[in-house]
Amino acid sequence: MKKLSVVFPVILLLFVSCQNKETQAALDEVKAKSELEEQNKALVEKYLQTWNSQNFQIMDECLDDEFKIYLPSNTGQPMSLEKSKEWIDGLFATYPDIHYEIQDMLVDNDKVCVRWTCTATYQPDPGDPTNRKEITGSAIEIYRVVNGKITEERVESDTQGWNQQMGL
Amino acid sequence: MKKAFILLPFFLFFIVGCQYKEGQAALDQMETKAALEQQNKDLIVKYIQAWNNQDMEVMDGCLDPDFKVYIPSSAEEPMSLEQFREWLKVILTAFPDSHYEAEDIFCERNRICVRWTYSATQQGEYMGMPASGRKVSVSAIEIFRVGNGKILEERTEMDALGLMQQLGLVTLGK
Repeated sequence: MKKLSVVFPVILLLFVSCQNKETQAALDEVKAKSELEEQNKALVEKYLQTWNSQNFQIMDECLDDEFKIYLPSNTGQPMSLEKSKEWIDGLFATYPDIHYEIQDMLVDNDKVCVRWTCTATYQPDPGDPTNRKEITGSAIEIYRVVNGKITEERVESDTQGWNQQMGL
Repeated sequence: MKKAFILLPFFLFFIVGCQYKEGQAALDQMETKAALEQQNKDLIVKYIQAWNNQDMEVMDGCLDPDFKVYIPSSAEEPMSLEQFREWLKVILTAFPDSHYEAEDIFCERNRICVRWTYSATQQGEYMGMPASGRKVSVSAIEIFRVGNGKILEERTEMDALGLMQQLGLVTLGK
């Protein structure tokens, strides 16, 4: 009887600690996923900040060598990293004070969705600084992040509204 | 000494059991979150299917009475449910073969992101333009917000300029 009272708790302990290990493994997996998601979100936030600071060095650090921009989101001809840089250069030249603000952000594994608005001053005639227009825009994007680098940026933006404000 | 020998496994059992309960509670919480996200995703899939089937009853069942549509995504004056229904009639009259194909769909808690491609033929009047028989293919990304099993909000950015070009309402380079 005495023996049994010793053996019984030991068996129970073994049983519970086994279950505990399984639970812990499942929990670790979930935690790793949520940590990765937080990292992916932070990376996209850091990248979008460089659109405000126009810091190409940090921008470069965020992007994978195989980075592609899809504009519109399902285009069969995405821009390569080189082409994207040229395009962004042109954008900053046309709208030197362009400013982006994140309105919403959600993440699932490697995908990060961002909704943003932006404002910029448009100067139709560079020789006439009094002729200025404040323009606002909006967009929703999907980023894909692999191994801590952005590999893909798919964009849908209110191009039509933007053009209308510019008087095009 | 004998006593300690008996008590120790009990004590250990108690500690391990406690840890197990905490771990299990955290895991249950995560599982509830995952289940809710799946339900939210399913709701959006059902809503898109209702669009494709032009099934107003199913569509209505997905939408909250306070449902609002933002096109573009930061529109200051979103459409109400009533306005949305009117707009839907206009779209489905002009483009009776409207079809939405979800290319990507993912969710975090109460928000769902969908990337889709829309295809249709203009078979009725649209924006003052008579039926042209033109085929269009347009892409979009949306964010839905869901609460209590109903869609509260739909925010859309679509390639409207591309749509206008395909319909011949806008020419590039102008």
